[in-house]
Amino acid sequence: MRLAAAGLASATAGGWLEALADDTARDPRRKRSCILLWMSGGPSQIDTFDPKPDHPNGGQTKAIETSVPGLRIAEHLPMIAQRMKHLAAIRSMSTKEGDHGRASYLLRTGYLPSGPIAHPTLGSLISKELERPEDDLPSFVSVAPFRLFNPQAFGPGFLGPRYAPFMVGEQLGYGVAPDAKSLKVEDLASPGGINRPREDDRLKLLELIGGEFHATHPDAPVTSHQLAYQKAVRLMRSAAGEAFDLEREPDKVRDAYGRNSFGQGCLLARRLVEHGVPFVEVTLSGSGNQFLGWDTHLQNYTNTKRLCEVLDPAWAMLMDDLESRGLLDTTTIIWMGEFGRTPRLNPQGGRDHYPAAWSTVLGGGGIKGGQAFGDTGKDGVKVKDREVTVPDMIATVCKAIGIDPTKQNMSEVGRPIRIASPEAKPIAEILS
Amino acid sequence: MKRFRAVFLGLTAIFAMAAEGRAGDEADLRRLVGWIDRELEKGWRESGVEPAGPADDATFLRRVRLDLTGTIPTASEAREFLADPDPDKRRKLVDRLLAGPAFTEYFTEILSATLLPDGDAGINGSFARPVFAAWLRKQIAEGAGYDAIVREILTLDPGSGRGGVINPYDASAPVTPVQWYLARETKPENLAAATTRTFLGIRLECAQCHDHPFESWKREEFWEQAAFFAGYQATQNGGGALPAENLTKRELTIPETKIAVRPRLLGEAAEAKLAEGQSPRRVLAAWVTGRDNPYFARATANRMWAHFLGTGLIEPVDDLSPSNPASHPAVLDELALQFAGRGFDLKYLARVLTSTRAYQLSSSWTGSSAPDPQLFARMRTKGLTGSQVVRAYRQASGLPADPVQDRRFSFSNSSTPGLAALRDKFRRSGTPPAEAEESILQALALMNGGLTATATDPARGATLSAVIGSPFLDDPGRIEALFLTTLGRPASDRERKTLLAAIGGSEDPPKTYADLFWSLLNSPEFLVNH
Repeated sequence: MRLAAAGLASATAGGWLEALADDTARDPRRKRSCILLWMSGGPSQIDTFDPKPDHPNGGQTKAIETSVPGLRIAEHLPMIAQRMKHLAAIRSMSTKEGDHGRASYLLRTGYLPSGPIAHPTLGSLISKELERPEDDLPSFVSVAPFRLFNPQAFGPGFLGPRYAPFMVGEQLGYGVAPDAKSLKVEDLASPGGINRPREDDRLKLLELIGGEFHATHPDAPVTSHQLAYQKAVRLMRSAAGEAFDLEREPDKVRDAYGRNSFGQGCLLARRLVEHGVPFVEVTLSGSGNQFLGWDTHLQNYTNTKRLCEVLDPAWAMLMDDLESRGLLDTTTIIWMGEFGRTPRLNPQGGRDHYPAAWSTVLGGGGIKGGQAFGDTGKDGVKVKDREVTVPDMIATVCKAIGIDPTKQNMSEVGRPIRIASPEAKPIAEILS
Repeated sequence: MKRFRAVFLGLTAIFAMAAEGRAGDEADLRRLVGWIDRELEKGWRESGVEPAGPADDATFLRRVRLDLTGTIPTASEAREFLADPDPDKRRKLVDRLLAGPAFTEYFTEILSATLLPDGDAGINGSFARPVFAAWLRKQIAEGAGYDAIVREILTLDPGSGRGGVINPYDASAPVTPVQWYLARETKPENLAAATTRTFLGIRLECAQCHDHPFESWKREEFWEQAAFFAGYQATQNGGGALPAENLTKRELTIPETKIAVRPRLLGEAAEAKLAEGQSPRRVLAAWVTGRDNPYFARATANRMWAHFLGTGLIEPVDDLSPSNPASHPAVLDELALQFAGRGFDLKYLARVLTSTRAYQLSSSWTGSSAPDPQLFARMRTKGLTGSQVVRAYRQASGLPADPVQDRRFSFSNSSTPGLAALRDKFRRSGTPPAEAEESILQALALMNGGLTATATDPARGATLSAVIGSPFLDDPGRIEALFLTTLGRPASDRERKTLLAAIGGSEDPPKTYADLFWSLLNSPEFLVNH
């Protein structure tokens, strides 16, 4: 006995949830995407992209040649070294925040935490510009986020839940690094026992109860409810939902990315970008029992090396796959943490928080790779040339993707806020 | 300041309200409500707007329950209220709710979010928030006026035994508002910005680095406010203790300048008079919470108006600058005056606001375009907040209540993990509920999540199994019970007819009831306060 036969079909004229059945025509324009590789804890610049092998501050870490003549990076990233022609290291980042929570907020939103304004995270800002209404998949996916340092730095802020990240495999506490298996979308399918006809029955009932209310309540909470349910059902039913299914990848590919949450997360990022998702972020925080990620106050050399063993193959495979699929030109890649680490080693062989002079990396679409920008001199203590601020870097990313960094969004305090703060200067030299 | 005082005195003369006597109070309240109604009606006439019709009893009950206690009525409560013939039942309901523990609990949460916005507290803040909430709960339960609450925060003196140290793990440790300081890293400039913005609705922090671009605030004025907190130095990484205040330090140098400033109250010509050996914060607190402060009562009344009506008389609610006037200036001034005259009693404001015609209007709108929200010609629909979703869901699906969390810190706020995840998914920092937009993740969680799976299982769902299994209910009675439980109203004729046909033709009626319950829990009507 179907509900439709009991008279429900006639009750739903108007088709409140009808849009979900439409097979919307695809926009033929090539989409732009952005992948943020988020290095939670603050990676050491000296042991990654700004090695100082000829100075005591360099520690044990040696520099190696890359595929770009004259450009050297740390020995821990041999595969990335071979792909430097697509990457531009910014060695002259300079910020003032040395606290994980505040610095995460600054790097991930482009603004300092300031009282009443909840600034949106980069993924919310950028996906809002790049999303298309007909997309089946969410426009901002966050893989294995570790939000404990500052949950505000990971949210849509004043843009609201509509621009919230679609999170998979969140790390909920210290010491519980996610495994690759946890990279699943929560609640993507109806619970066991609810088959497709039953889903239809339920949605018809939802139309019966919600349709009139929707028609008489022209308010954001109600209209967005309808939109969210249409999109949710589309996601549950569309083939695009398969983008989240890593089982569809050959074992060989999955092994090459690394059988850990970051490696599999990068593979997921590639699959999502292939399906047109505009913004994906993948967090590398813990690995094994090094669960505070890049916060290497102790034994910096060993711990950084170990994290790089996870980072290097995953990132390299991601670049290769994007390139072979013709997607690297339209996909901008950001590699960053919340700050760098002290040039001088502490007595425990660790490095502490250091925002004064550190590195981030941009690559792929819109970026002129094969270079290092800025200089921190022999000892790495100070930026000697071309200091780069967070707004500068974010404006550069916007330009690389092809969106306007001065675009304003209305904040909850009624003041328009730009994507990158007004004083931002994009770095012309690393834009292609 | 003079301008405001003039307005206050003028209106006081019109009303000449007596502050004494319970019956007199009641008559005064009605007079004030009637006057507010007429002021708003004037606005409708001038704009040629026909207001929405009155909200029916079911809508009023659900609305006031959500606004005062953060949850929805139970089915039996709704039945009783709908059947009650007393013409004064709405007012009595409000009084009953204001006297109960659910109001204390919910307003603890509301005020806590206002006084300690999420953005101000990083990882250190989240540890100490429950201690602050416990302190606030005590104040509200004891009936403290809002002025007293703010005064206590601003004059907190750890040396007097009121506790500058917090221990979130120890339930016997004294409760204290010290988190208000720690969340601002005890930086004088942050504390000053929090004071002016939260308590006074003045966004002086824009003047921290330069003179305010649009308003008359000067950079010196910002730092003169900060100088009231000059005895504090910034703590690194929060910590759990308030550092000692240096009572001899009463001067601050504006960063990157050589200009030294001393405490001066906003709008006063002369430096503040400070007593030796006493914290300058006492002078600040007395001024902020004084009855003739031109901002304090208005800022608070405006926040409360926005809480109940969905939109403030001034928007954004914390921007009371002269260039951002109220939609109904006289209404705000009078409301503020009466609020101050009644010991800054938040319950008084709640009584007044829930009695207004504007609050009792329907949210339904069939006209072409909805009127300007600041005309208050129709109730705005507010999206449920994270905590309201959790409370409403818990109640509708029949999950046991959580014990009141007193002081313990925990990463999740609920003994039912699914509910904590739901709260997290519906958390929206700073977005006014009337602007809230729903996300795909929220929809997926409510459609397919484990909580819904249990709630809509005819064998496991507490509410559903009780309704299906009740020998006292026929099919119309079952439909009504499920509607009352979730939406607080009976099914409409059309809904009832369609559903009875579906159930009558069903091979497995419990399954059909489960589907009905699922659609009620997922309906837009369940997820908003309308």
